[in-house]
Amino acid sequence: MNTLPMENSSAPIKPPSETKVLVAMSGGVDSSVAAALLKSQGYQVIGVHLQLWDQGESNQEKFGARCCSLVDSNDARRVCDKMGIPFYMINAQDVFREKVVDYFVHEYLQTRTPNPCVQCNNAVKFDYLFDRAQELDCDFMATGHYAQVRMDSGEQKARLHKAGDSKKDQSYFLFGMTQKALQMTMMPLGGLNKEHVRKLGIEFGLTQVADKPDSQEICFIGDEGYQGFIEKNASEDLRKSGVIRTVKGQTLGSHSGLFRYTIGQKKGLNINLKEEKEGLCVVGFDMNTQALIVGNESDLMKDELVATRMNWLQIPDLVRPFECHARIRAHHQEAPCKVTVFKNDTVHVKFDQPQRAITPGQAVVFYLKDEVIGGGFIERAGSEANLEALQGKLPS
Amino acid sequence: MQKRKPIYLDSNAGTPLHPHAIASLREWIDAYQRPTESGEFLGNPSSIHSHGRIAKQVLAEAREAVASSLGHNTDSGQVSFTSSGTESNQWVIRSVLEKAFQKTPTPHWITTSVEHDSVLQMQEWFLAKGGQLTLVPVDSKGVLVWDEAAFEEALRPETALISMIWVNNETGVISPIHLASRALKKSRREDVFLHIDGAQAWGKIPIDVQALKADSLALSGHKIGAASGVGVLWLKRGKQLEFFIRGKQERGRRGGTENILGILTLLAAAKAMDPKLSSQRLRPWITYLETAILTRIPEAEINGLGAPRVGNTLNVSFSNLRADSLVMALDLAGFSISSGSACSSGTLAASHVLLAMGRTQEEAKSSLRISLDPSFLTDRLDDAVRNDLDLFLNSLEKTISRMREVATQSQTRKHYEYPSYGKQFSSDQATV
Repeated sequence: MNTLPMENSSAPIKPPSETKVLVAMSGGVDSSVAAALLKSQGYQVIGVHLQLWDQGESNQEKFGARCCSLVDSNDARRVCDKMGIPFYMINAQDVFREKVVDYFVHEYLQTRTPNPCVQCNNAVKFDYLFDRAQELDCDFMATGHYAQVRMDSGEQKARLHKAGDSKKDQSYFLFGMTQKALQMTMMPLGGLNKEHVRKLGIEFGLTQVADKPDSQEICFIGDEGYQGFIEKNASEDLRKSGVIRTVKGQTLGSHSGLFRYTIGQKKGLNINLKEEKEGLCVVGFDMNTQALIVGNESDLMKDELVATRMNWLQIPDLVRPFECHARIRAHHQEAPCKVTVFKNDTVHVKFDQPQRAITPGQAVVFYLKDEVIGGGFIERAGSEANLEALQGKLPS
Repeated sequence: MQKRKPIYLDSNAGTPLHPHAIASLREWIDAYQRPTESGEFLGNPSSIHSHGRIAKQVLAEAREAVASSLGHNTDSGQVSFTSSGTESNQWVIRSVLEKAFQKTPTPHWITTSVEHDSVLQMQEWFLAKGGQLTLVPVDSKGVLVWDEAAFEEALRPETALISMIWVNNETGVISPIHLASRALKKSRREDVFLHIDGAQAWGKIPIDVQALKADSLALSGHKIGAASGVGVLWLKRGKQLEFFIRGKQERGRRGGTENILGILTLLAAAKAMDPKLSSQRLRPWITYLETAILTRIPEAEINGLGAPRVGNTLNVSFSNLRADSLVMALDLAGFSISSGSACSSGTLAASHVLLAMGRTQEEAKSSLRISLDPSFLTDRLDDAVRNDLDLFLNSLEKTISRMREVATQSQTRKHYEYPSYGKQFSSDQATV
């Protein structure tokens, strides 16, 4: 059997046979192979499936291949049966609703575009489940994430790096981990690519999960889409309609709730002027008048942002601006920038080149080469042209 | 994970097979292994031929053994085999109440607030159909607070059913079920059906159905050392139930070929049953655990302390911890145990029994149920038994102190502060 690139993970002090590892198992191929790899290396593996969302019986067909369906929990259980791993289900629906689902709805109502996977990692996997792992006296927690934890033995610190397979890299979603959680986390797939993982799945005899498709959409949203979900979950008073206005102040039409839009969106704009329609996209929101602001591609290009609720995996320079790369959404190619850290948990980022559609609510994650040094949530974007908007957010 | 064999402390969920049940299975194994040579194995009890007859004989013997475990001169003809205690409970409840719905759109059912899940399910069904439910409350010890007069007062013209759990599966508290039968007798309400869920009473306290004055009694095989998949319904002579499963088996009361191997184990277990002796032998160990837990573990509270309880069950709440983690941690340490009833321990729901006893949501999510059966003592010296229980107590003490430490750390850990978007939004926008 293939050996695991364990030198990339934080090195356990005890031998594997005495090291207890809780593996967070979704029922997908990644976490299943992660558990099988650790088991084959002699670790004391415990499989835990978090029940996060009750899709209801009527949705079972639809949700068949998704996160936290009955099918998935059963797959996780069968993988554990096969590998001789004790398996438990934990009902985390309350914490998931509060910390991920309600947050998701609130953010959209605030004209921000949330990333629920970031939130789930921060509040559910590496907080709630992390506590559970300690309650069960586990030395480590392991996940099927594509990212790498490296132990810096000199500094006694763990470092978070991108995955070996840049196509699958999930380090962006993990910037919110604490140093303690990082030191106690294994990500056995960090150095592998997806094809390799599927092959390992077959080699381990996990035929049930080896061919399962990757989860794509947001796990708690079904056919109704995110807009329908918010309609169902937020009262009408919080979903006001308004006008669509250009950056220059011209009214072009109306909309039925700002939560339906995100920065850079082109589809679904209900605009009357046919000749103007081409090339128009959402460039902002006016919360006071509930107006949707549209403009051209060029209006989307901004080179500054302010972010708050920061988490640092490496202590940043608190006096001088420092240079690094920043990723502003999950599928963004991180871009060079200068970061200034303010005391009140706020940073100002100045990109070397303007970036398209910097979106409030999304996470901005800072990289030094392949290493995640920290991140936070985008509050607002700006450019030289509207610096006053930025300055409002910065401490004087 | 653990080096020694796991220790089983969850008999109220299901006991291991009684040694006599294993012996009787063994006796038949050879016959099954060489069906052509042996000449006889347990066939279908409904068949006319010898294979069928011998199976029918096992059925009859099992019926007689069950009947004699329910008091002297109990008629074995009133004993039916079902698939489970759940089926027995639901068969009666559904049959009685469906008949009642034919007479009135709003029939009335009196039951307790501490019933088993199989009865809770029927309560939902009943309410959805428009029935009226009266739940008898319990006090903080888990004891029914009603006296005979209260039962009498609660009776309405449309009351069709009183059903009560005899021994609570979570706490082991024994209910004074005679109060209901006395109230019915006094008020001369022969039309009201009295059903007792005796699943956790069987084998733990002596049962005499004559003295019980009930119309039916539900029992379960895997609580007394038989295989799971066999239940019993005792029905008073003269009482009739609607079909739950139609068929000619069980004297035309319940369809489906009988679970003959399961019933074979039930025959042996029922014959071997000695409630007085097992209670007498187990109670000192439960007391031993109770005392040790209260001495060694801070903020532990025995549920049902001071109430009449069976000798094999101990239910204890620990402050500031999640029972599902505790059950998992103890399992990893090699102890099989559950939090509350097995039916609800797949997920962490607060125990409705503890809530009915006035516990908070938190307390009702932090309870552990320890239950023993005679097999725990069989062929073992007291020292060996004490050794197992001490191992458990050590592990429990260590686990709880670790879990409480994690909880404290977690509370002091820096959390992200989630802004109250909802509030901010509504107050800001109210003036727009």
